[in-house]
Amino acid sequence: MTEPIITVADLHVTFATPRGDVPAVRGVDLVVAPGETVGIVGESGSGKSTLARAIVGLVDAQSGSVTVDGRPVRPVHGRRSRADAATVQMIFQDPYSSLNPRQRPIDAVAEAVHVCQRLDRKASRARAMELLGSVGISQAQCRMKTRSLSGGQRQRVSIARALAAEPKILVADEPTSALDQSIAASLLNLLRRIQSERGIAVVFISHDLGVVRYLAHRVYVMKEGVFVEDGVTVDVFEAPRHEYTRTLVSSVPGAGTTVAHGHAPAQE
Amino acid sequence: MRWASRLKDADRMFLIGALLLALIVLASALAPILSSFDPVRGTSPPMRAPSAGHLFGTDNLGRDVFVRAFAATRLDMMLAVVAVGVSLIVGTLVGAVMGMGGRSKVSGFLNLVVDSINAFPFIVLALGVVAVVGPSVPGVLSAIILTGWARYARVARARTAVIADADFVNAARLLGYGRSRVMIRHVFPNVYSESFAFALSELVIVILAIASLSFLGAGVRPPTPELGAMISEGRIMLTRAWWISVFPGAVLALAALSIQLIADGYERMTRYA
Repeated sequence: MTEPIITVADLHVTFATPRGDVPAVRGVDLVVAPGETVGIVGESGSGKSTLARAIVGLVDAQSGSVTVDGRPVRPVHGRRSRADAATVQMIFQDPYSSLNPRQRPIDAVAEAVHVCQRLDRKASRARAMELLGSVGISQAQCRMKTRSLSGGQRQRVSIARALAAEPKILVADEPTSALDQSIAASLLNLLRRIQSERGIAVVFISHDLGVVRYLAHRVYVMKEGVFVEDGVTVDVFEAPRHEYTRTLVSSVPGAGTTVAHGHAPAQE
Repeated sequence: MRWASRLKDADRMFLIGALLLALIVLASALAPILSSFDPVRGTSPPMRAPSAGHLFGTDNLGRDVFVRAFAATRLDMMLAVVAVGVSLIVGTLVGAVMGMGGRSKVSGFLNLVVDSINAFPFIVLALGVVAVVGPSVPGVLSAIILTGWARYARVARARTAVIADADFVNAARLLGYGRSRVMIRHVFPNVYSESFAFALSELVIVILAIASLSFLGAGVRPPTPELGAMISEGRIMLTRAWWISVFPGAVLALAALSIQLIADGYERMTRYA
């Protein structure tokens, strides 16, 4: 394996609540190679979203380390450098809170281009138009109010905004779970295309095994804050070693065979 | 352009409110200038019923009630706009600091101040301030501002805390936007639209509060024309000269109604999608 672009070592994340500390992630090790898509599956509350947020620096680790592109991840509450932004970006679960309602798509993406690429206003807008076009947002939709965009369109705008930073890694936290199936399928195709065209590493979080099977080269199975199994996607799904993985696979009709929309499972 | 498209899909109630308010503002701007009657010094026979010469009649000192009512409306509206404007700016800034500040000592102290002020009934606190400063225009203004800003702070605090946690703000931070860019372009615009909607609905309450203070004798003093004071003065003559109280009361009610319609309409038009 080449030098990993993400290395998570013995990560612990704990949340302080009025009823005491609740551990969300309890000792996790993870590596992601450049250009690789890694799926993290698990039920709700298994800690997978927290892990995703720790990788980008949105939550602080209790102990352990997250190294991204050779440097420890910096908490976002400090000032992040351009290099930080160009390393890792995130796609969020809820399309309705991931875009500023006071910005039109073109403005949101152009702002990201302006800050991350240091382009002037005109060049930023031109680049933003290109990016939005490449994720399937029409010129007319670029200038629409955010509130009149659908969930799927919003996620596409979020992806374009993240790509404005030209990141090496994209962390996607259940980006399709708020969308209906055909919209979700076309968004997955978009993510797959971006991943192969740009060669960026993708960490894809989902509770949907079919989706992960379609997208991920390797998969980690998470339960109660720890990984119970990991391996090449096909192996994990065809021959699960851990009992929990077997339960997951058998509880999803079709997850072991085909995926919605007739695409063949990822096997490259 | 943006306003034009907004006005087109504005609802009918907003337009009715705007029209009514425009009429009231126009009347209160023009009546004291165009009319030959003085709003303070009486020159006509007292206690005359409404007629073509005196549309709202005259009061016990021979002053034209129409001119006085609209001079009073002008004063009340200006006081309310100044009081709400200052409270809005101060309160929203303080609230935004508290919303972003987390658990620092400064925001803990501000929280205590804001919650203490909001815990008191507004009019009681305002009466207390007037008792200290004195019943006058500055007294009324300071009473309304000192008690009012804390309500805006509470609104802005809650809103800022929600917005600061929203994923589009996380996305902005991840993209490496500076602190001030995140605050000015992403947090604040989503806070102030709600604060502004709140200020419009507060304007109604504040106009009524200014009139109430004067009605209670703790506000603007006679002979300065003020709606609450006028209603109070005419009260003892209500059976013989109803117009002295009823017309100022009607103008006050219509002014409050027009602003309420505008506030409701604005809120419908800018609601967070």
